[in-house]
Amino acid sequence: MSNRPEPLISISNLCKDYGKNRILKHVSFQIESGDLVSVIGPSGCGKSTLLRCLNCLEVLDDGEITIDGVCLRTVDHEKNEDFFWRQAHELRQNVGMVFQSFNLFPHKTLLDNVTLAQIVVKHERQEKAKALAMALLEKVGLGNLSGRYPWSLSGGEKQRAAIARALAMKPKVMLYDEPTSSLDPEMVEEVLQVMRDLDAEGMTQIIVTHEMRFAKDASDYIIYMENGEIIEISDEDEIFINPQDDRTRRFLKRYM
Amino acid sequence: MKSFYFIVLLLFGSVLLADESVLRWAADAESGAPNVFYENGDLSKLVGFEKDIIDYIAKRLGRRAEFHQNDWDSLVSGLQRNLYDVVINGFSPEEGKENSAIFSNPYYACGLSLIIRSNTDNIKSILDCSGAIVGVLRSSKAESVLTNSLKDVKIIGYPNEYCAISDLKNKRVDAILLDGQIAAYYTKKLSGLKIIDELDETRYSIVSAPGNGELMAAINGVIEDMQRDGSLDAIVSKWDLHNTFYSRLGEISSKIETPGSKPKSSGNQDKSTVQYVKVLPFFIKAACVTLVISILSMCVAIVLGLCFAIMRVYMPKWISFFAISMIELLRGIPLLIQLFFVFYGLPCIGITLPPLVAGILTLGMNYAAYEAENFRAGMAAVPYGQMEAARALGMNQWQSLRHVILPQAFTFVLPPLTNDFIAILKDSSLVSLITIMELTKTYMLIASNSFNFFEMGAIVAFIYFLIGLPFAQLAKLAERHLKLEKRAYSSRKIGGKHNR
Ligand SMILES: Nc1ncnc2c1ncn2[C@@H]1O[C@H](COP(=O)(O)OP(=O)(O)O)[C@@H](O)[C@H]1O
Ligand SMILES: [Mg+2]
Repeated sequence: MSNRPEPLISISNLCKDYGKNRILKHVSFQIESGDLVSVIGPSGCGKSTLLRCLNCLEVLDDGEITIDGVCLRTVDHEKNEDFFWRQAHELRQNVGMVFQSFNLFPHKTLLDNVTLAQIVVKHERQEKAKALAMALLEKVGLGNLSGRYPWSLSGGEKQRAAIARALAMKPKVMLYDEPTSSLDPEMVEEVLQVMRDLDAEGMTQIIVTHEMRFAKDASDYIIYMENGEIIEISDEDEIFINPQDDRTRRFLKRYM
Repeated sequence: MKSFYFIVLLLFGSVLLADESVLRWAADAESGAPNVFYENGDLSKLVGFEKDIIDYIAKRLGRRAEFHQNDWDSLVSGLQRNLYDVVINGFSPEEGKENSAIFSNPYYACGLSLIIRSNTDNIKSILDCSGAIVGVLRSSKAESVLTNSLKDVKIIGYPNEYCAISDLKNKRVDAILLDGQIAAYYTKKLSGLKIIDELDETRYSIVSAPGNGELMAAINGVIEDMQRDGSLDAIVSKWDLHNTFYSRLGEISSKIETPGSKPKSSGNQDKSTVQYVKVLPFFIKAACVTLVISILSMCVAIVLGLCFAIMRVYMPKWISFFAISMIELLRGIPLLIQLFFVFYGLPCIGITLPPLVAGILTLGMNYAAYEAENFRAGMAAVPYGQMEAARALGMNQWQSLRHVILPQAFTFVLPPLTNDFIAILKDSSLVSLITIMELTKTYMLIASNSFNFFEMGAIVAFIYFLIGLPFAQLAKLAERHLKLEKRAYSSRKIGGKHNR
């Protein structure tokens, strides 16, 4: 999809432990700019942990992550802890994240939800932040709800607002952790449509999802994980038609 | 810090610096008749024979007399704190305070009178008091005399005369031993009591701090003059306080009886003389003091409590440990001890705070411990996903706290906060112990001097209620608001794994 020789995201040998349990085991993959990648796998296999590592919400225990030229290794590998966190902060600037439970700020209107980080983190001027926020809310179809509080919205509207909020930081990569899992079925499509639109604009996106049809139709390729390991990385159709691994086959049987 | 002092000074006009042209004197006017008291509870009319004496002395020294109210128990401590220059309030040199204070030549002497109820007939003299319950003033001459001369007598110490006499009338004690002129005043003023025995002598001296030797010498000179020229006699006559002990004291003085005007207070106690309209301005002023102290203390408590809570939850271990220790320390020590420590203790290491500042800081710090726990609970009630969302947007920890966590925590904290404000409103009465004239103290002064604890009590209770009312309403409002928020939270599912 990109002419760039360098991949936008490059992960090699990523490991993450919780206590004595190794949750991610030497995960490596590369994603090029503009790709839409779906991550599927059984519950508890480490999908969320993977995304959280990419956004530095968790500190990796081994390996390295490079996103748009910013490289992050373990704390021990860096000169000092300060440097590590500066690096983590810089890496995070390029990454937007959308959660299963929306996590909108309940004490702020939609508009303020979208402007807050611009003003606080990027020191954007009020008017400029508002203009961008309004444009993004329009884009996800919430232009007329900008003055409402999150509690007065439906799940689908909340998730679209959360996407607008993440986009406001102008990330190069968007991460979605089961963005439609807590939505009523009739609201799922409106959220997926937003992601399709973003894909058409060339946004790089990684989506952890159980929506197999969406994964199949929209993804450039699919990563199948189990037990903290990547079992299979495959072209969208191939994995559904002809899974290479037994475990993938067993998993897909349950969903298709 | 300097400008803060200045503002406090401006606000409350408390004069901190010793002014040569002013003679700052102190006494406890709470049921202080006939020594120093407010006539019929009118706080604009400070009277008493000791006030007349100190006014005369001040005039002779070319100074303006300025009265400072303080609790009997703290009068001498106030001298060391340099809150005022002298104390004149029935102190006798024998009371074992020689190293902490200096005493003038005596200006008055009296015996100790034993008062009983008129209908008591089994007590004829002090000797019959064995096995009886006898009331005295705390740390008075009477107390030491009684302890030394009688065995198996049960002594009860009172903070002021009115309490002792009330308990006598209410049969909680069988008799009380008081300084003669005080006993005379109250038996005249109140019916159903009689004096049956007079014993031992106590002499009154003016007290000052050990460093004030020069001032004391000047005062002694004036007292001598007064004894010689009869002006002391005139004051004693005016208050009708002559007795044999006093006569012996003033051997040298020529006994010229100057008629003088008798004190206006009539013997019979007429409730209608208590003018409610007149006491109201004092109550309102005191209510303002109480309100200002409470609000400022609460501000200190909120700011400090928030700091402690953030230190405890979000800071490195050793800072967190410090915060926890501070919280436990401030919570665990009685407020009263903290108050005395800050006001009378800190000056020993060179930190002398004005009463209002000391009171506000102490109350504020004590409540900071409670507010810290409130804030901690409030922050814990904010779902963890909020912090993650803020961090994922690139905010650092402080920005996330400031813009996302704290505003939400505050709505959780508001109801307990308003409750604590009402509590601080009541606890602010403790600062009367460090010479601040707030609502409770004003009530005690007015009531004890007008013998009207019931109606004045009703008034003061009503004022406390009125002040607290808006804040109670605020608590209700906050709770309604919170319910609204709760509905918002419950309408969305929270992914378990994102809530550590
Ligand atoms: N904070 C944590 N502490 C300990 N174990 C955790 C924590 N978060 C997740 N885990 C464990 O890590 C594994 C992977 O979790 P997760 O990445 O959330 O799986 P999923 O693929 O369902 O998103 C699970 O077994 C889970 O129990
Ligand atoms: Mg998950």
